Amino acid sequence: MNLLLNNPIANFFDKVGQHLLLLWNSLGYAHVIFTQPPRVIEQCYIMGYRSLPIISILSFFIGAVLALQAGFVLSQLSVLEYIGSFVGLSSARELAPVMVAFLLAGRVGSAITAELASMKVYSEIDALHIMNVSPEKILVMPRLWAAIVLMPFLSIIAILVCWLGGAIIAEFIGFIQLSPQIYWRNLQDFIVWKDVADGMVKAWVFGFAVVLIACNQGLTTTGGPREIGNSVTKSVVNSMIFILFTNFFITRAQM
Amino acid sequence: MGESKQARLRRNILHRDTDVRIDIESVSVSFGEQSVVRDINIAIEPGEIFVIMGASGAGKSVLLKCIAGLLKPNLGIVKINGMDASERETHHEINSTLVFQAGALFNSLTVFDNLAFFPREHKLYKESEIKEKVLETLRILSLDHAAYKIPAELSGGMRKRVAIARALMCEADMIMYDEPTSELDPIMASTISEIIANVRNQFGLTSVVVSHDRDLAYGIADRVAIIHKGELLAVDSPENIQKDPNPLVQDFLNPTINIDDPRFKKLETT
Ligand SMILES: Nc1ncnc2c1ncn2[C@@H]1O[C@H](COP(=O)(O)OP(=O)(O)OP(=O)(O)O)[C@@H](O)[C@H]1O
Ligand SMILES: [Mg+2]
Repeated sequence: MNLLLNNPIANFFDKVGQHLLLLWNSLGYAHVIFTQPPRVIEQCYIMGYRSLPIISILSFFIGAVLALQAGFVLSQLSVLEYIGSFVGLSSARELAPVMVAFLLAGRVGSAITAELASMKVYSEIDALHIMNVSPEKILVMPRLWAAIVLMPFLSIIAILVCWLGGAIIAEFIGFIQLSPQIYWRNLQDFIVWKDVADGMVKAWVFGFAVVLIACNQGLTTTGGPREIGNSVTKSVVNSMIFILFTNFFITRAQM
Repeated sequence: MGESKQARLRRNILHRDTDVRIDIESVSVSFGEQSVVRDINIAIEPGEIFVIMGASGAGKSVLLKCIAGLLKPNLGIVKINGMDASERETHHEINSTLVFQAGALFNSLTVFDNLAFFPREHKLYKESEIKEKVLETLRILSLDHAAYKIPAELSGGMRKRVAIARALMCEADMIMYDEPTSELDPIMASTISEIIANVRNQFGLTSVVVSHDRDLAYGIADRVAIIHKGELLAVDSPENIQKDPNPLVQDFLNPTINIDDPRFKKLETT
């Protein structure tokens, strides 16, 4: 029995099972978006408000640095106009969705875990059970809905700001000086809607997973207040591992 | 699926005349190596005020959690009207509530919203009726001035009273109190005893009270159980238990203060 519990592989499958169970139980309350819209709206507000500013700023710099690196190489090959497609594709397909998901894990996932873990440690979750109110209904599902609703918006904003950052850097950095018209035309020539859509699907999967991982980590916290901090760390690290790991497989599937 | 269960629950709550009997059958609980509750058998009758007493760390809160269904005993079973207390289904049939030792208030909500939480969540009444009931309950517990504070702004005793008030809002058929009078002054403590007795008399609900408070036990209990290191020492009416010959029971009920106890010799010399 002990051998089974301390085995890392058994542990892994135990975790996977926990998440699936939590997901299953929460989906039973999917109707909260109709029956208790204020709860979902509140979570959307918190999630969007917390992450939108930082997502915008970081996306801008990701686009900027991509343009810088691409400009450096492409100027030596005298094909500067391809900066547009390089920045456009790499940010839409990879960097924007992954960075949005990372930021979500750090900014929103950590806050969710901290909140739910403290509710668990201070018996508030037990109090909910006693009152016959399931935590999945009032805590987990509204947050999952918020991720479902918000992720497409957050990722499209991130992609656009990335592109914009690339355009501005390409125009104003001395050794590049690419006119915006050429940048955007090249970007348009190479990017199809599917690229953006693929990026959004990724962000959507990651965002949902980040919230699920954060909720599960919070609700399974046991012990004293000290464990709240540990749980937050675990939640963020596990989310990031999940994001990078799944990213590979989604990318492969989207090819 | 969600809706019909919700509706049934709502009906059960509003119905509120279920007789609840609790059978604790050979319950043992251990955490790792430490055995905390050992083979306890108690039958609690419908409408009874049953007081569980015992030294700190004796396992009272753990036993209460088993009754509340928050903890599954390692051995034995707690039955509520014949149904396993650790199954969620049981709690959909029988609306029970628990006053946690540490309150377990919702820290992000005001006192008012803490009290209104249960009726709102189960859509028991209109918002105006809820407001009326909440304010009434707060008044009984002298908490009217604290309605819009959050739990972090309350004193320990106030938090305890809010926890009791919140439990009273649940309109349960069975109520459990974990040390409802600790942290309270003697006047407030006797008020709480009166409330416990009153609620029982009014609604006939089964009440399980964990307490060290002898005044409460002698004043309102129908029966008292004494637990010592996880084992049941005695169960009897308050009158009989005071005459119990077991020295452990007598030590607990009538402790003597002995400042010359050899245990303290070390302290004095330092
Ligand atoms: N979750 C837990 N994990 C490990 N040990 C626990 C846990 N909960 C309680 N215990 C242990 O069980 C024993 C009984 O605890 P319990 O809380 O039931 O005491 P109590 O009788 O309620 O005491 P008090 O009057 O001080 O509240 C204690 O020794 C405690 O350390
Ligand atoms: Mg206790």
